[in-house]
Amino acid sequence: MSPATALARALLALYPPTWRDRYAEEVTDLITSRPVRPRTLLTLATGAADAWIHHRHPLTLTRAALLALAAVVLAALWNPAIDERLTQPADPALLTTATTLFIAAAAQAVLPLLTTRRLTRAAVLLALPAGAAALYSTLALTGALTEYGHAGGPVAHATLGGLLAPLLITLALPLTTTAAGHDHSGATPRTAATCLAVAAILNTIAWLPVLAVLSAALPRTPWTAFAAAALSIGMSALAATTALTRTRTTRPRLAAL
Amino acid sequence: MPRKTPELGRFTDVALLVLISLAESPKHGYRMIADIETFSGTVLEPGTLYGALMRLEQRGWITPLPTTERRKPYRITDPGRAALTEQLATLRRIEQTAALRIQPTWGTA
Repeated sequence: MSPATALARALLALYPPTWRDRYAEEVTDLITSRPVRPRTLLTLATGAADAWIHHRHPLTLTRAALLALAAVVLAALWNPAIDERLTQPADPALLTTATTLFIAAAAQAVLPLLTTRRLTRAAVLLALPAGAAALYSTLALTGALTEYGHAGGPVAHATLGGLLAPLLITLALPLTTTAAGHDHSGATPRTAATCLAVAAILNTIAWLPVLAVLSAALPRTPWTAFAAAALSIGMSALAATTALTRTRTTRPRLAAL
Repeated sequence: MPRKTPELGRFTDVALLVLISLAESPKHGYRMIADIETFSGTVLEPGTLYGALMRLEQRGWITPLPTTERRKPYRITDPGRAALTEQLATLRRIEQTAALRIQPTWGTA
């Protein structure tokens, strides 16, 4: 094997692991059966950067595990985050705005149910009860359900929406990614992903008035409330960007080719 | 060649060449490079070709076939063929417009 060929093969190590699993054997075969020129090396190097940017990363175990872990932690924070220490006085208008936005975010997350095709809808109808059961079990295990009955005042109730919205967004994520796998025209999954992105944005905006109220009462506000806010925003953003990334490459764009 | 777009990046032209090559018959990478060189004069490097294959496969416009003799052939799918047809129609309109506009005209200032 010539040094140039060896270098070309070494450049394949720069590609993402998922790309290597899929294409490295084929590219290695090509490299070893053709002359390797400087341009070959250059395109392999730039191709690696391109693959990192554009290769569709599946809903990897890492990302799925991260979202699942975040859901459990969020549920665990639920009770401490909305306990009786969140009874401070607050401007009702701020809390009403937050609650309205949280409800809008949750509705937006569920909206893809109405826009997806038959196959995906059936999958979701099966997945939702399972997801709800899993969520209920998690909450029961962490004691959140039993504790919520005597939780705090209006601030605590406004916070509740911010805990539910990211869970709904995450539950809707498999719907979008499944649709991307079955609908190569891309329009339906893209719509579903956009709904999730809007839901994530609404969830983030909704937290702003809540955070303002929590910050105003900072000495008495438990740190778990801020942790729950950060987790809620991060979780919904991760789910939305995953949905957008997964559907971006299925858009019907040969007109743009 | 069509305008490049952010989605297909520097592989825009290459993706079109690959679809045209696969429209004839399924081919593996080595044969695609040879075929594209024959009909277009463009010599593709492996890094460029597989960037385009990755994008086309993600869109569902091509699909891999079972490996034969250590090489994996690809075939164009129906959505890929439809997309290619649409793109070629666009190119045809552009070519016709360009042909009309470069004809010499008489009697104009």
